[in-house]
Amino acid sequence: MSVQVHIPSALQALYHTQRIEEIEAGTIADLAVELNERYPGIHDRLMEPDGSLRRYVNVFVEQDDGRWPGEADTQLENGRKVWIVPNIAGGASPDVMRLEMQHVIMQRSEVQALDMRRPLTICAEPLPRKSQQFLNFAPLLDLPMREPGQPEQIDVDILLLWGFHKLNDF
Amino acid sequence: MATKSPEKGDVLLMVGTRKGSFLYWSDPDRKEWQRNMSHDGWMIHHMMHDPRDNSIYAATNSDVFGAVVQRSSDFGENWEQRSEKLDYEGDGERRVRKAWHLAVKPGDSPGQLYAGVERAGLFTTEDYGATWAPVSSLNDHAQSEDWNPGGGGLILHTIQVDPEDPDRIYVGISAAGVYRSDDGGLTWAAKNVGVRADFLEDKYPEFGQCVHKFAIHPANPKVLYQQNHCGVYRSEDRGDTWMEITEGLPSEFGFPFAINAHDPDTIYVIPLVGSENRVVPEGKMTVWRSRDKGTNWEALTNGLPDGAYLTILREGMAVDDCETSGVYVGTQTGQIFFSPDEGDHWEMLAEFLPPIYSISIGRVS
Repeated sequence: MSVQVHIPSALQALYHTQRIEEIEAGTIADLAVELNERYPGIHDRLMEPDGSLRRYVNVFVEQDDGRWPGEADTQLENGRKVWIVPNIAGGASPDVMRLEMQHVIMQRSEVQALDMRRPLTICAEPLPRKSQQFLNFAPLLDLPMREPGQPEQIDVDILLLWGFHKLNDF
Repeated sequence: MATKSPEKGDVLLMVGTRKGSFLYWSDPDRKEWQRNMSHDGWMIHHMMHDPRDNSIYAATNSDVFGAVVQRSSDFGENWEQRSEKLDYEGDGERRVRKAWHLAVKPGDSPGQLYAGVERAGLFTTEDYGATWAPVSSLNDHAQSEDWNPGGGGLILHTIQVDPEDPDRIYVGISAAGVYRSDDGGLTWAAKNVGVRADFLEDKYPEFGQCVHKFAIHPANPKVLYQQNHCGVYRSEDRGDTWMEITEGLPSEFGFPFAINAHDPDTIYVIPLVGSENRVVPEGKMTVWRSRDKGTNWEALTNGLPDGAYLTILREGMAVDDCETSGVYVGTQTGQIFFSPDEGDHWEMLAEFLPPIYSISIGRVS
């Protein structure tokens, strides 16, 4: 199956990849192996030695989080777009950040929480209260930049995974 | 910032920070420094120069993508980062989360290295860091299930090889202590006799001590020193026994340790207030030096700031081997202090860097 893989900017810089790589792969695990053929070493950046995805590496197939269900065994269909999305570090402790995000989700019916089984990860469209923060992170996610204060017009077919974990960075 | 490339004889100052690496270089006068930066956004826990081929290696880490040992053969202009198999195999909970320390594996062939990692373990490469293999004799040591983490995690943070016998290898693990192999890494034994572990019920266990940094001197490899969580120590029998040399220092707690490049009796430490307050005492940046193997200590402050509540981590001090040995100290608040004369006088070499994790020195060969 041929899929279009969106490579996160950190791995683009590290392995000198294209922003989007066309890959023949039947599963996410295959995808990592095929990418490694082109860019030796990149497999180990994505996968654990036991064959699972690294803890903070997330893979979307179109709008679905490839981590649930099936993780690395998720089947890829021909022509699908795949996003590799690293979690993004927040400046607050994970618990505080999570509570804040949950509150926002409850207030906005159009925000869809796709994955609450992982304690620090949710899926959501961009949140106005976090718009400035979103702008800062936009290049990492390969989404268009926009000016502060503009109404949010992000294409809602692209769901962002908005993960927080502590980097001891404050 | 760099206007000329490193040349033979230049001093290389490799700085690992929480947000990227910085390479400085200068001729042996050490008055004008060139600089370049690499690894934007990555945590750099240690860097190393291999004089056999003038390669520079960096232990780079990302919470997302893991530990990657990167190599540059052109002084930081370009980096290779294959770094495959730098992890424990299988389905177990044991995983390599960070690379903490790199060291040359002795021999005529370049590209042979050791790496110390978290969860504490030793790995080796024979191909310039492209692929790695675990040193299972240490990583699966019978005592390893009882190793406990220190404040920075369960980490192997120091690797030293006896310059007269490449089969004699020492590693430092927090908080397990010093281990030594006399047979090229086939077997390992804890070497902590005489070192206190005040945080344990048994103050002098076989292992479990929290070594922060230790060093061996190339001119006299029988003698080792260590800065521990609980004092400063010297061994004169290759680590078999240790004697405490803390007396005369303002605190028993500190992280880095350095030995003068020409004189094995001249040593440096940077005491911090203590485990619960890891800043220099009284807000006075001070490097302490002994000229007699730790019997007497003197405070070095000439040119160092007052009113400065600074923290220096375990890789935060290094010395060069210029005719008059230079001493370099990097702080967690992004300053580099430099003494061109063995610590007598200090100046600010750089400031406003990200938090500094490591300072390493090399000479272009």
